[in-house]
Amino acid sequence: MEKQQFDFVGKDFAIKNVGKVTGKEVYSGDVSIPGQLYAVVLRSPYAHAEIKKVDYSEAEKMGAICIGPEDVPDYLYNERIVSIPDKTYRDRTVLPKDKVRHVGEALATCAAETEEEALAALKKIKVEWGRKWKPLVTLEEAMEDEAPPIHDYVYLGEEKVKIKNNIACTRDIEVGDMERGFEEADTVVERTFSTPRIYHLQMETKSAVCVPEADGGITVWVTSQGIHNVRILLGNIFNLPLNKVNVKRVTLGGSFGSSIQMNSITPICVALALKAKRPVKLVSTREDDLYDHAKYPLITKLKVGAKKDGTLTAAHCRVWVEIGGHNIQAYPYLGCVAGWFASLYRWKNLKYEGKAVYTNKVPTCAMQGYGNPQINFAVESLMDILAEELGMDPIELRLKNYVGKGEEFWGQGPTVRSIIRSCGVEEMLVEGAKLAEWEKRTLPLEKEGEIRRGIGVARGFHTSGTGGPNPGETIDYSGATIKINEDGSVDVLTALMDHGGGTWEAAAKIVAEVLKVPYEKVGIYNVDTRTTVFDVNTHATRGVYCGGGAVKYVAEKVKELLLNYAATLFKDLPENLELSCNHELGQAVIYPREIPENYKTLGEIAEYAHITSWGTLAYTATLRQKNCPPCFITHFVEVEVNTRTGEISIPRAVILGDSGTILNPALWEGQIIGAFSRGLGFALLEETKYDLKEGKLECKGMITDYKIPTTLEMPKLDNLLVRSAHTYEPTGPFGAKGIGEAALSSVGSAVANAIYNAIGIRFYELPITPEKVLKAWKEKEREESQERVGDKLNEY
Amino acid sequence: MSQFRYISPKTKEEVLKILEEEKSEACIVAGGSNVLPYIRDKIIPPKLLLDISGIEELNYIKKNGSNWRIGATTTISDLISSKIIREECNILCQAAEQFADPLVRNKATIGGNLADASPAADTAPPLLALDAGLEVESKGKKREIFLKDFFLGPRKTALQDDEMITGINFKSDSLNKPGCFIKLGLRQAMAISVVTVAMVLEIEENRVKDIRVAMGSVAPIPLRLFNAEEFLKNKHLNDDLIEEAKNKVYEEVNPISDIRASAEYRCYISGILFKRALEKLTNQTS
Repeated sequence: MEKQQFDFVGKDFAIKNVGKVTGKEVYSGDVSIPGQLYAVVLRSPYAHAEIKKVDYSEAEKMGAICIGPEDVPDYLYNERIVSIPDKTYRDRTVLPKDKVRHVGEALATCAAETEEEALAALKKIKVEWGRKWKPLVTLEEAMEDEAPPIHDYVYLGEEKVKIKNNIACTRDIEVGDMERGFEEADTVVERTFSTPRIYHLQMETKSAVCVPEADGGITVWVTSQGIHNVRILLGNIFNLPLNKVNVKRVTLGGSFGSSIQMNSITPICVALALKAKRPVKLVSTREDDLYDHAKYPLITKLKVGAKKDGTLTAAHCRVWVEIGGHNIQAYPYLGCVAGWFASLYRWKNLKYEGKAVYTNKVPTCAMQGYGNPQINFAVESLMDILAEELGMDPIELRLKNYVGKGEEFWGQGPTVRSIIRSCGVEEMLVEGAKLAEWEKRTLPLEKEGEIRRGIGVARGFHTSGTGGPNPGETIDYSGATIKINEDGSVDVLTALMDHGGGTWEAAAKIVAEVLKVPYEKVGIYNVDTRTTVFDVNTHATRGVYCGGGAVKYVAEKVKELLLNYAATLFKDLPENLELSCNHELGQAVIYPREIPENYKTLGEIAEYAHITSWGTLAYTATLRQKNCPPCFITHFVEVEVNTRTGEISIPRAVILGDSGTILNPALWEGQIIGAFSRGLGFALLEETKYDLKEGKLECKGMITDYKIPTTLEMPKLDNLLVRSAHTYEPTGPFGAKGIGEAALSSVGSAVANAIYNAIGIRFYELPITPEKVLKAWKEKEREESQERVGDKLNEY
Repeated sequence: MSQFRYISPKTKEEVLKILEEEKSEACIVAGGSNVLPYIRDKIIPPKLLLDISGIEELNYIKKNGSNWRIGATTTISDLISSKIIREECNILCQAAEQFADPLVRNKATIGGNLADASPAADTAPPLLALDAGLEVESKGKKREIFLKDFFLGPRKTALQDDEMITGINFKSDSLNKPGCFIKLGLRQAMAISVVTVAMVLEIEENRVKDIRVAMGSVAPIPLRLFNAEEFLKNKHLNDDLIEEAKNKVYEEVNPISDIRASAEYRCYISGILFKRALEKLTNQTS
């Protein structure tokens, strides 16, 4: 580890969005423009039905502006344009042209002077339905030969592709010789795992406000993780020059990945505004939102071979994902699942086969991990099963086989790979085992009583960004403008979004550290696409590593400018000057090295540059990170299983994270704890269940019956230890990597492993509900009593 | 959300007068924790919302000798913060503390919780176990309905269109202490119950002198388990007897499957919670 002394990095300061705390923050739903109309959306009651005609003449007579399928552009698009065009499947229009593909799909919209009037007008819209098909709810029924096609044709880039058996896309990857690998194995284990669809339940539902401008352009305020992609998409859909679309960055009220893509309501709002020639505001209700996006589920059939000593020899991984009515980038999803799988352990010989299948359900998209928690549940469960078969300690088996320093990590599927340069896996497993008192662990058979306690371990990771030495299939670069104001304060203009995880604070800290300017003098604001250079998105845990990396690069350019200009004032060479933070003055100061008393403050220098008309000390650039370092995580979780009711509680957890240098310690810990809570939901509670007949959500879009854990489900604070590994990422800004998605990746696996340790029952399907636990426990009791009878008979 | 009229009367008399005129057109709302989600979910088409939350005369907790009276708009938080409820009628306090979350408890009322007639109403089982009665009024008329006769089905009650619940009453008797309420939900707060049980019990020399027990979410209505009670009365408690009593419980409950749990799970859990309540109370009294 490189030893570095930091002025700001690694220290906790006040957050930049003070308005979040005082209630003054403006989210997209808070934006109001004089003269705006209010829009509401008509959503389909059917899962799969032909739209014959949408007649909104009665609604128009009430004064509403309406849009139906015929009014939207024919342009087919994919709302997520993070992948390169050639690898992007396009299957949707702003409103569906021919048929609806899931309950809750928007099919018409209207806007009026008030929301009440708009709702009244919406009731007057008549839809003439044609053929209705039985909804395809499960993966199996969607793939049947006689199943009605959800899409006939889609586009992959510019190529027209016929969809067969509702299979949206596939991805097959081979490394080495799997067959030979299995032949070399002494032990082979194979199991099938499944993880559910869950709903993001981000606090803020999606909103959009659109103003048609006098020059024919539009200004749009949106809920988004990446405003430049929204700009490009809106330009493409509505055939507007890309400089005529200005997308405003608005503070996000959480997202968990649900706004990587342009939200479905955004172009609907724009279409209305263009037709009305007036500003339009569209705010989603919670019910709209629950029918708009969900996490990708996954079924994994995993087969692994190992030698007696635990050395892995081969793996065969087959996955199926049902993606709902539209393909929001299932192709890179399948690639990423392959990548997370391939990068967890040294399989040596592996074969991966992935299939994504359309169903008549809510479209699925990324949610904190992009397939990582799903495949991690399969792999980390199977590693425990394998360890037991081999008679090895689960930690020992992991230490023997994990992919670490000097090996290749697939940061975003098979085409984005880089070499791991920092790795805290061993430290976290070994130190974590001590903290969690792993050696005191007992076997399931040694436990008794109604309430059984168990401990489980699982490890995971996520990438930090989607860069590699070769760009691959994913677009990944960020940028910023940084300027020093006339008083020495600094402004950072970047499209880099902050979900609430501290990306802004990290960026400001990086600038403060480079320019030695006190943190509170660095400003970072909600700007827009017109005044910023491109930033792909805050996704893939890339905020600090890629976004922060670009900010650091630009800050260093500004520093260069500053030292060059200061050299003229000092009548010296720039390399003879020193830049440091004078904490007493609360200012950055510059002085000739060895003569600190001859300092000038940054404020003095900037003011001089101003009054002499030298100009602004500012720089703009973009940067692509050329690595995708994994941030690692390890979860030790203790559970208590009530064998009478099946209830599970979490009395204690030890969580260790490896993010290299940690820029925001408190927010870093907050991310780990928050992800743990949500991971418990994924493991024990959450699922968007569908009624099989009509394809509707059983919770009806209401969160009364979409439960996520509360604080009461968490261990008490004293029993929740969070520790950081001692690592430094040489390619990261000040040694930093990410954390966000890594923090969730192994929670479900650790909980499932702990439940096994508590009651000796292995669960292959999440969520592990009390009902499932009780049923399995009863079966086990029955089997054991039969075995006992059998044993007695054997005695005779 | 649909449109509706809204009136916020200041006296009980005013409410009764409007009810007489509007009858089923009017929907009484107090905390709104049920009514507003129902409107949103289009379960009820509201025409007139009659907001009684501001009527002071309906908010009280009184104890006169052994007679208890609780006003209909007493909030769940009021129950928790009431010293006499906590000390002398703890079963109600236990139920109130497991009700939704603090924000909802500040708004939701005991009268509303009962009038909603949800099988999962958290205050219903303890009040059934307390043998409570409801004071019901219409314009110029008062009557009392035993709580056990009040619930007719999910969201169906014995209330007439022009009637409202004004208060709840019950008597302290030797059974009331300490009382036990257990709730099993899918999480520890803001969870509609999977199964609840409320029990009061008097033991004399390990013999069940008297018992009253009620359960929630195990039938179309909050349920008094009369057969299980009768079965246990005057018997000496032991493990075999408790197992037999559990079977009586299984016979009496009739749960449904829904998004929260299957009927089989609810049925099984009803026996578990029944036993747990019995053990808890016998341990406390012995």
